[in-house]
Amino acid sequence: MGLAFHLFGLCRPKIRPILTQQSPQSAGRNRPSRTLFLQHKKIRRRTRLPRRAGAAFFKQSEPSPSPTALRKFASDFWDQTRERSKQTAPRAGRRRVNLGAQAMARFDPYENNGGTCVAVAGADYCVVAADTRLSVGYSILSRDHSKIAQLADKCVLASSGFQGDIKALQKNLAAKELVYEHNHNKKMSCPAMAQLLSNTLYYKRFFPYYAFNVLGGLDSQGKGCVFTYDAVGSYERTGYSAQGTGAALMMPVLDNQLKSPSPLLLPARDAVTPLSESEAVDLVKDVFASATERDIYTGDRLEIVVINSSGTHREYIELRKD
Amino acid sequence: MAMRLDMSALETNFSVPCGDDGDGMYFSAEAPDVPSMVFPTCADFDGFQAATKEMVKNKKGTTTLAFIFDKGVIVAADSRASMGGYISSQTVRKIIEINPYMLGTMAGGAADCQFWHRNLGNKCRLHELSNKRRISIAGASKLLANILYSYRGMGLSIGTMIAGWDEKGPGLYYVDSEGARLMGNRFSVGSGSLYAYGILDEGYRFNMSVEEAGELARRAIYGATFRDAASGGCVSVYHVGPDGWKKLSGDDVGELHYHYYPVQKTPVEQEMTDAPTAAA
Amino acid sequence: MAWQQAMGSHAAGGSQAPPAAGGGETQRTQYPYVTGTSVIALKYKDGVIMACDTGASYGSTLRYKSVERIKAVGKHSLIGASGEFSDFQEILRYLDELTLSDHMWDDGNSLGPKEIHSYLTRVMYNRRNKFDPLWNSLVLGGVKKGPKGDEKYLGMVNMIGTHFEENHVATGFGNHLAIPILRAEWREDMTFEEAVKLVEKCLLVLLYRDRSSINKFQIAKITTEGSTIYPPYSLKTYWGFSHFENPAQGAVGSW
Repeated sequence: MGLAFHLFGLCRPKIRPILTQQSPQSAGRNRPSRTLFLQHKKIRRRTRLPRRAGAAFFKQSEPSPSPTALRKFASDFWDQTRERSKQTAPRAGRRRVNLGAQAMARFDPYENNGGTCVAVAGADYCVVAADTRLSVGYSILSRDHSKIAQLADKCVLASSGFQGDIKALQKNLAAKELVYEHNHNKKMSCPAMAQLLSNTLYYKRFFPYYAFNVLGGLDSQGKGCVFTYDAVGSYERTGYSAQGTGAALMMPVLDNQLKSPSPLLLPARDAVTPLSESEAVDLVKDVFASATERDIYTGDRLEIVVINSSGTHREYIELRKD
Repeated sequence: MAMRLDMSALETNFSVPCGDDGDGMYFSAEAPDVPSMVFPTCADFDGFQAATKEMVKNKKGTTTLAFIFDKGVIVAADSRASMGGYISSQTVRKIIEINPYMLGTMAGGAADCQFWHRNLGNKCRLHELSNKRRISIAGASKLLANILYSYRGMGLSIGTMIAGWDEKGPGLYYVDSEGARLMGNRFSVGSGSLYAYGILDEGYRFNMSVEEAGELARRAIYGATFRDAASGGCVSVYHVGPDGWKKLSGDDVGELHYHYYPVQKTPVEQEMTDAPTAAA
Repeated sequence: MAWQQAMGSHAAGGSQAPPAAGGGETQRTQYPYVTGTSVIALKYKDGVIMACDTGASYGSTLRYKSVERIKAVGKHSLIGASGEFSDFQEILRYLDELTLSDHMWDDGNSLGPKEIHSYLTRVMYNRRNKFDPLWNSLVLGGVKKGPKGDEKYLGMVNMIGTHFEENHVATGFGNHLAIPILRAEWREDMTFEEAVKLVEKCLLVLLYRDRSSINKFQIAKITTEGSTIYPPYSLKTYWGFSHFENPAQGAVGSW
């Protein structure tokens, strides 16, 4: 909306809280109400129509303007507006405010704290791993910050992206798991958690969690499973996955080592990860060591969680610290 | 007067959609209506959406098609998802099995399609439970179109076909996030749709065997994956008839290419021989 | 980004508090006004030491010269803040209320540094969710008796809710200038004297290179005995480095 007001060279925007109001019907629930939607549209429409400027034009060309005159007026109006906006509206992009001599950046609710997450599923195990570097820009904030959360006894989530969102998301899921546990007197299964995570991400579709997730664990038959996500909740069950800043470096290697026939094939072909548990752990260590060579946001330490029928165990190895 | 700690600073601007109302939205028998979407409270919603879209780069790029013929509906799609130039998956299920008689296809934002199809599946099941009959394809597509229309202009990106078999026979609707809902006999959606249309329109007849129709669909998608970089992976083909849907084929495009264009053994005109060495 | 530019009034609160008719409009912090610069903190043998200068700038003007940017929170914690000073004062009010209500339980328990830090991370993150951030980087240090003996704690949180724990932290310019020194010289078993020396070294580097820092510093420590915030003092400076006197000497710049 702000842009539109600049275009018209009007004073400061006075906007009602169009996206936060509730209609009486939807009180208590945070659903997008009809009134909300209408107001949203109304304001859009208002900014599109050059009504006030048009009033003067219509007055001067009484009784009624010819279609040609109308078209000319409209085209002139937009030309003028475009000119004016060049003078008044600052260019889009990250703006800086000059306060005294010191230029300060405006508020940006996101930052990328980097890091890479990997998960590999086997016949009866799952390996979930992530580096422990926390960085912003070129600075490293911490060399020992865990990105992995154990959500249930056979369900582990690794996330990279914006640390604030990641922590909020992981805490949120852990809380929901606890509620589920109390309601159902059992732990949530990994596929159930996978869909819960998808929904949780999608509910923030318009203000997304900047988090790239890999969920690993065992399914109800005890087989290893990996679920991979985008930031707004599309997900897929796969045999292995990498997410985060080093993902584009790691995925080709994982494809090379682990790719199995597509589950979409008909007749179906057997798709078992050919590796044993210890081979999978070694592979994960290797891809991290390699990505650390070329990704500035990956490094310091690797945290590996292995989930199998005997439970979960954690191990750490050191990565390059430069 | 009882003193109470002011926790307002800890309040979020959205409700957590689980647990706090006792029955828990996820697990209750209550109709899973439009979920608790969270909206940013910034003044410029559109600008924020544009900025976040740039940032999260959700998955895109597709070829899907569906057509009606005398023995039902054929639905086919590729399986590639790309984020910019990076292929984020080659195994996406773009044909969503809403129920045994209805399929949905996805093109556009992967999360948008997946979520709203899941939501549509719920609604269709509830309709079935309360009316003791399956929802019509027209009804289901309209449910989806109405939801998408209510979010119009907010940045959703969906181009879907709802195909299936109901009491009136085969049904096929195209629905998108701009609010369109079209009934038709032949559609193709996605970045590779033009290539698919080329082959589909060329080979389409109303009277076909299921095998012929399936092969036409497979070839159309294959043609699109060959020319459109954002389409690829596997070609899945489904048929929906009076007894529900059945998957007809699933082929890796890499192998399918050599199925359509087998490597021709060229006769060797001249055998290469070792060059005579100085010693010999 | 276009959505960042809306300067004027727009509505407060989220969907949980529908705005009252005719009212409910507030101004949000779009950029900071009075700001404090770096805070440095590190763990040492007996607890945590924290230090910063006592200046607060208005843009590039060094507007206030003796403000306290380190405060005690409850019995076990110290908080240090850089960034918008009024937002820090708001945070202190929250913390006062929090510790008071905690005290009134009178159950022999009290919030430790870990709990306070956790509270702060939620406050900061939730405010950013409302597009109404508290414009600070906060450092929280403390010691509390735990099941495994005295537990030292040192953590940081910024204006959008990124948070972590470390053995040594520095905000703002300190993150660039002090952290390399701390990484090179910090040890777990430093004595208080050694820690003070290390901190002073960092402060001095910052004083030379951060234009918004001033030569009036405060050091504070927290141990199991409690917190002590020492009165402000100055460091001896030496501006006679040849490079300070003629910074262009030997430089082969292109212009």
